[in-house]
Amino acid sequence: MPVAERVSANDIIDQNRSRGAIGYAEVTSFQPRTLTVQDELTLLARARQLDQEALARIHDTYYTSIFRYVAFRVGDHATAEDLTSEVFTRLLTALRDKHAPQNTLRGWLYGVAARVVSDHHRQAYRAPQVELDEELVSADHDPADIVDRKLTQESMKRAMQELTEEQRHVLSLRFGSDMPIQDVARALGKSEGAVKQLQARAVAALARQLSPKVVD
Amino acid sequence: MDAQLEMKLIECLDALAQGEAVERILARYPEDAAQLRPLLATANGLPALRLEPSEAAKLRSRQKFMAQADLLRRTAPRKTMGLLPRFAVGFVAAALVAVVLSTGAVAASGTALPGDPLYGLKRTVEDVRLQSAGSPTQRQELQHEFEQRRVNETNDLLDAGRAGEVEFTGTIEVIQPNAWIVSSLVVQVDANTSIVGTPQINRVAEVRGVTGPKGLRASSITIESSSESETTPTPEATGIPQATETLEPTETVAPATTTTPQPTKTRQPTSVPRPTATPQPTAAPQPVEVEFTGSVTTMDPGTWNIDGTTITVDTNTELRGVINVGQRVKVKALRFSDGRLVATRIEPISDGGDNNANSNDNQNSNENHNGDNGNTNDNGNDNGNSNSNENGNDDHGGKGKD
Repeated sequence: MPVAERVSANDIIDQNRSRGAIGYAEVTSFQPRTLTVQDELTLLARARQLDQEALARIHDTYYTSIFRYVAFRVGDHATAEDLTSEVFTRLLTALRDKHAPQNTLRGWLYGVAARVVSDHHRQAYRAPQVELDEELVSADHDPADIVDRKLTQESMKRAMQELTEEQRHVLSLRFGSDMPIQDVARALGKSEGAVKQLQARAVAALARQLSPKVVD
Repeated sequence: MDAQLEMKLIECLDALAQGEAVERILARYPEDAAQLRPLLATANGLPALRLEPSEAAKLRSRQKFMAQADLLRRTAPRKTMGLLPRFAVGFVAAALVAVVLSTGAVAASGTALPGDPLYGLKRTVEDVRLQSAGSPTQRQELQHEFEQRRVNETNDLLDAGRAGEVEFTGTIEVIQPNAWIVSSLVVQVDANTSIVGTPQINRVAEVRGVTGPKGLRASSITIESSSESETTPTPEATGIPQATETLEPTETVAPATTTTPQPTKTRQPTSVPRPTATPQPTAAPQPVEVEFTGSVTTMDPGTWNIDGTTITVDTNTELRGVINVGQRVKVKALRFSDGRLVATRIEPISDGGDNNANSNDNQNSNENHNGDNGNTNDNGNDNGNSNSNENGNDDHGGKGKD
């Protein structure tokens, strides 16, 4: 993961002001990856007042990572786009109803993203099941090769469904959203060690789903 | 996977995250390499499944997000409770409901009119019920019910000849120079009335004003831009406030042809006149029946004035009871395409004691359940129906908050 550029929310807004940005259109050109906790709090305070610049800032700061997370779990662009948009809609509703995140906006957004995705899966659950690929069972190739080949969106989607919700969440944060271990730990309220263990078990479970020959 | 292998996998995944190559990592665990390889291959392949959002998707999302925020910003502040945060409204109201329920004040507040001490409580209870509505449909129904209450309250104030500040929303039924009829209520309009929007019959308007012995005087009328609009062709021809109808055609057509004012001629050269607009006014449609209440201002032969609304009274008009100047009456009239109102029936509205007495009796028995007998005389006529509703409703409110 590239080292994030740390910029304060106020800096961003001030810079945009001084550059004469009127709406939020111009904010796009400016893309910090991460905000410090303090910056988040400042942004949140402004967002509660439905401050336009702050909201645009929040959207643009987190859109890409939330999209990646969601896309990793649903596996296609169109659905990911819809669901990511839904995450931000829920943020607005929460701001309106005053149960918006109190401290960590990022953790909150990922939490909502997880719920939006599982709501989506629940609704789509009755979609026809793809039958098990014969090759998975019969082939006597090297399991690692099979894994490589089978690691496609479709089989992944299927395999992911066999994991626990928490395992899916961790894998999507780590590999979908490219979030460092310590950030995942913070988002889940767990120790880094616990997250590493969760991740290892999730990877093992996924590998088992993709190739039955993998030892358990 | 045993604990030892799990530990090794954790170490491998750490190394992988540092960017080390799979084979190099596996070389460190020769005895477990066979088991670890597919696991590492899985982990190694995962980032390749990542999808990136397009710039267009991000832009779309932001547009939607900002539009929703905009909507929220406009709908968020509520004028009645502007000073209190929402949870405080709920809390205060719940506390009030709890404290006051035993005394019957909430029930009594159901009949409160603007200016009454309990009126604020009535509106607060409504607010709470709106906020705790279970579904959008339910909320809409409540909203509708409450809007109807505003009309009824105004009517009650007028019947009693009382002064009060009112606001209500309703459909514009008649537009005359000095008075409109909105939701069957005569609304007096003068030079001080601020009118926002295009006055047009059948549109929905929010009316604010004050009531008094002389009727309801509007301070402002805000007309909603309607979506259904042009279904009724006739109305405004006579709607004096401003001769909007005649202006419209010239506005759109003239600039294109006469050319003088606008340099950007290219814009609408093709959209010549609007030939379809003209035939409409000439088509004389059926008169529409309207009904409203007001006080009789003047009674000249053939022409009466009800709170500023001029009506034609002829031999076909059914006059019930004895009617004098100053009396509140209910008028049924036909509205013709040119705006004329021809009364078909005029009847006095009394404080009870005549034809209506029978129905009053029933309503009174309802009220007794509440234990507030005090105002039966004053309000007997109009309270009855709404009372039974409000009792039920207030109960809901109480439950909702528990």
